[in-house]
Amino acid sequence: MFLKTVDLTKIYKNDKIKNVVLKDINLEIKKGQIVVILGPSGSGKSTLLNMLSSLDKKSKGYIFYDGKIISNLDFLKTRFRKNKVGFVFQDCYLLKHLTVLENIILAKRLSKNSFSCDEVIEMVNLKDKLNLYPHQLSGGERSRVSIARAIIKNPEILFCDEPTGALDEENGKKVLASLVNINKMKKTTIIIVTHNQGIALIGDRIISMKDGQIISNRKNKRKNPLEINWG
Amino acid sequence: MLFISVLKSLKDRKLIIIILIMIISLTITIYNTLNLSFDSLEKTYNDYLEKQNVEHVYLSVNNNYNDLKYQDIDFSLVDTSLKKTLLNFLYNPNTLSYFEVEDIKKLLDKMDVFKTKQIAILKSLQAKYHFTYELQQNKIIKQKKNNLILFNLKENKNINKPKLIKGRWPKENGEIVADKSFKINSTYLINQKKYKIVGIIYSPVYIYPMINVLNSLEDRVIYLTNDDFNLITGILNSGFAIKFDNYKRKMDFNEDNNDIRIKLLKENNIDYNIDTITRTNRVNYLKQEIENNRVLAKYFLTLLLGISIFINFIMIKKIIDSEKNEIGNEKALGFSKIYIASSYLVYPIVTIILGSIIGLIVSSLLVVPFTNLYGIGFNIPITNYVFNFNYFKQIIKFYLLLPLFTMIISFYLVRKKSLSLLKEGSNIKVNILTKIINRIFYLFPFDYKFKLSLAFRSLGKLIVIIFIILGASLLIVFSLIISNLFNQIVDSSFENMKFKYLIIFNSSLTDSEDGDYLFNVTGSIKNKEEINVIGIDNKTKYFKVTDKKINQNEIVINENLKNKYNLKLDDYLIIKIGNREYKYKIIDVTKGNTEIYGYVNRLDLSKKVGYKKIVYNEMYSNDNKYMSMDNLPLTKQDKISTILNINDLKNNLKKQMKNLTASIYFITIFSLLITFLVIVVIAYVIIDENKTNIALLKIMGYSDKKISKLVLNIYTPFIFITYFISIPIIKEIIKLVINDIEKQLDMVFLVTISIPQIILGLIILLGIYFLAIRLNKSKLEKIPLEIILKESR
Repeated sequence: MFLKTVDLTKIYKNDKIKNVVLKDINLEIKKGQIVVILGPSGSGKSTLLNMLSSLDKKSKGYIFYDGKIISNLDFLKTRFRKNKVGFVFQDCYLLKHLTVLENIILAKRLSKNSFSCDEVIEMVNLKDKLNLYPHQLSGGERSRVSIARAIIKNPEILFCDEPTGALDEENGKKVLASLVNINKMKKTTIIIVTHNQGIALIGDRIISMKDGQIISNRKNKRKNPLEINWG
Repeated sequence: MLFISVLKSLKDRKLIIIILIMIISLTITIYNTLNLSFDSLEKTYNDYLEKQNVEHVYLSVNNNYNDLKYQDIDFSLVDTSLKKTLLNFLYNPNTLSYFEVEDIKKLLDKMDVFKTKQIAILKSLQAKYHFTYELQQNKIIKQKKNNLILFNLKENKNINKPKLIKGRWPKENGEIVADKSFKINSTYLINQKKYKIVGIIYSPVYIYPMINVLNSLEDRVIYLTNDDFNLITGILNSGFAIKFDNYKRKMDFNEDNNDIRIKLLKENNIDYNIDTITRTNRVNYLKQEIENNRVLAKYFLTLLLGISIFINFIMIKKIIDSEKNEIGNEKALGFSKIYIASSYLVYPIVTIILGSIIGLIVSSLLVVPFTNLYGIGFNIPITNYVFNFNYFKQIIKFYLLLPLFTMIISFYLVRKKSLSLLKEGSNIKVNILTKIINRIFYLFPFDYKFKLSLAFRSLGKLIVIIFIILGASLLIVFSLIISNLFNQIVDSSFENMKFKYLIIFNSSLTDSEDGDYLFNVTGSIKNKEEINVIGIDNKTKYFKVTDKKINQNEIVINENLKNKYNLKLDDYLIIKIGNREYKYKIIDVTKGNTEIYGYVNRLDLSKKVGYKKIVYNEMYSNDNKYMSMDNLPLTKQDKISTILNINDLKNNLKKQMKNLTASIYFITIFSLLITFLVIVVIAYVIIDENKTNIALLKIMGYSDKKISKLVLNIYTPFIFITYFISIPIIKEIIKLVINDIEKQLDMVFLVTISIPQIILGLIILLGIYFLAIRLNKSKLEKIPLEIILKESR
């Protein structure tokens, strides 16, 4: 199994109050799949993504990547993020003082077997925006830059936290189409966190969450992002 | 409502608020502590003068032998063998050498030929100026490494009463009381006679324990019974300790002093001195010391206060700048401009109130140890500690500028449209400078372009950081320069001296050996100021005074003399040597910030004082035979009065400067503490400004080392540049301040900073900076990366 969790638990301690955000999560994700984690606000889906991607520390349990435990040690996590993982966030977090191309190059420098800039720019359709700064782009374009930045390293797995959360339907669908396109072309495993049930249909597997627990984990027949019902 | 909201936001800025409070409290602490310690010491001193009935003036009669007439001398007191010499002196003074004349004067002094006359004169003055007086004598004995100054207990009953601090007063002959360098109940040998030390005292005429620069022996004070004092052999000094009924009488006397002197000289052929330099120093130096310290503290603390307010202002501005979105929100909600702007007064008010309370508490705790520390160098029991709010009131007025500045910045922000305020931060446009830099450095490696464009992404933020770095740099350079001031005085005084030993002879000599020769005589300027006139040769090995040749009637004066009389090159200086006045042309000025002296041609000076040949009475040598008198033959020993080691001379001068330097060191320590806090703030601000970038690069997989290189080190070149810019700035500011201090302290300071010190300052700055960056970054690492990113939204 490509990515696996065993009894994964996350507890936040605030003063004397314990808040169990994730409770004994057990799941398995196969290589090359698009997995959608679906759930309302506060269900623990983003926390789960952060655990899987090593952005946050687990309180209990294990995460296995390609059969090996993901360590809590910082330098190993950094190596994991550098070599295996790409991130796409709702807020894009582009570096405002860099142009589109420079933002992408910033990530490209990290990997020896990265894609070429032209290839990635082609995938996300940003050819004529390369020398613009983030404030000169629309929301959808910024999201696509952030996807380009995430995939240029040629990651094995791409974590997307509400990638379309701040976008309208048209731009949102374009972003999703880019993600599906990458998955098809590069066989990149993609994990998407969303509250939008319509978006969930683009995944090979849909994991539904509520109150920090998985309430369903089912297979799904992918739909074309451009044909889904925007929720 | 808004006030409470801003008050609550203090919690989120704990570190920076604590640092602001600490900077204010440290500044208030040092300002308050130093000034209150000076007050305490002054009050202690004044009370002591009152209780011990310390003299107002010490009048030593300086018999005027210049126009001495036969009838002025009571020949019944004169030894018959001396009668011929004395008559020769009275009728043919020009046939005698300078030293023969000096020797005769000493003999006449010893015989005290004018004593009856002196008392009659004092009584006549007493009727007009209302004072009490007491004849007070002392005998000096050189013993081992000390000058023993012996006083008569009987003579110090009314004025200059010694203060017993341990033991008891002598009840019988053979018992003595002595200063605190002696051990109570031990016995002490003076001129082969044993005395028992039954008490330890403070002598009011030795409040400041003078160390004689011309002989490195330390003075030790002993009080003996009347019989013991009269029996003991030593060099006798006598004079009248005078205490006026009130201070006004003293002022009247001082005012009339010149007239009285002229009248006495004219009618009675008697001259007198009030307060010889050493006596004045011993009694009044503490007051002078306090005044000097006050002057230094006033200027340097004001400078420190200025820098502290500047840093506080910049930091408060930084906090308010980061509140742009909140201000936009509040405006959108409909709060009035004045209400929003005034709510930010919480920052200066809270920091000033807490800083003041802490500063006041700490300073009240420090006043006692600081006063005691200042008092250590003086023989005076510290009895008074002053606590008041006078100095706090002085300093707080300046801090009240902070709320005013805060209001101005807040108003500047509030007047912007709420929408533009809300957009700020969330959608910052890239400024033109970044674009230009990106274009210029287009072909440069990516790392360079990245760092440059990151540093210049917001000019406002860059300026704030540069200003804070400037504040820290100013403080470091300020600390280094002021800590140098007094070392420089000592070093500059000995700069051109490469000899190991200064040999002072009993008489003037003509024979020669390997060394530099000096002929040192005492003269006077305008009949009041003593000057050492030092005859030197134009070629010297071990010291250098000037590059110019000193000819007949030419003089090289020291810097202190130049400043005191506002002299210039080519001016003429009239110096009285012996009975005659000589006109010297000033050809150069040499360093030397203490005492008053001038260098002249040795041959010319020898002739002027009556020698036909060139003579010397001092010699500079590097010959190690002078390490100890025992190395020299007896015939040579007889000719030598003292041998001074140059290191002893340096140490003596350093000891004298010690008290004055204490204030400087305290100010330096406090300014370095503030520097440390400011650098921590710089690191905090840099991490805070870049935490999103750091988190993002970490998420992307950049290593810590690479992140430091790309993000955290972007301001390092600015630290270098700002530090080097701060050196001339603070140097010029201190020079301005020093100009004023010099006028008040009658000293010359050199405002310098050496290259090793500059490097040291930079190392301190960078060392603390990188340490603070590391600490702040490790704090950041404890927060999940996702949270950091979310916080920056």
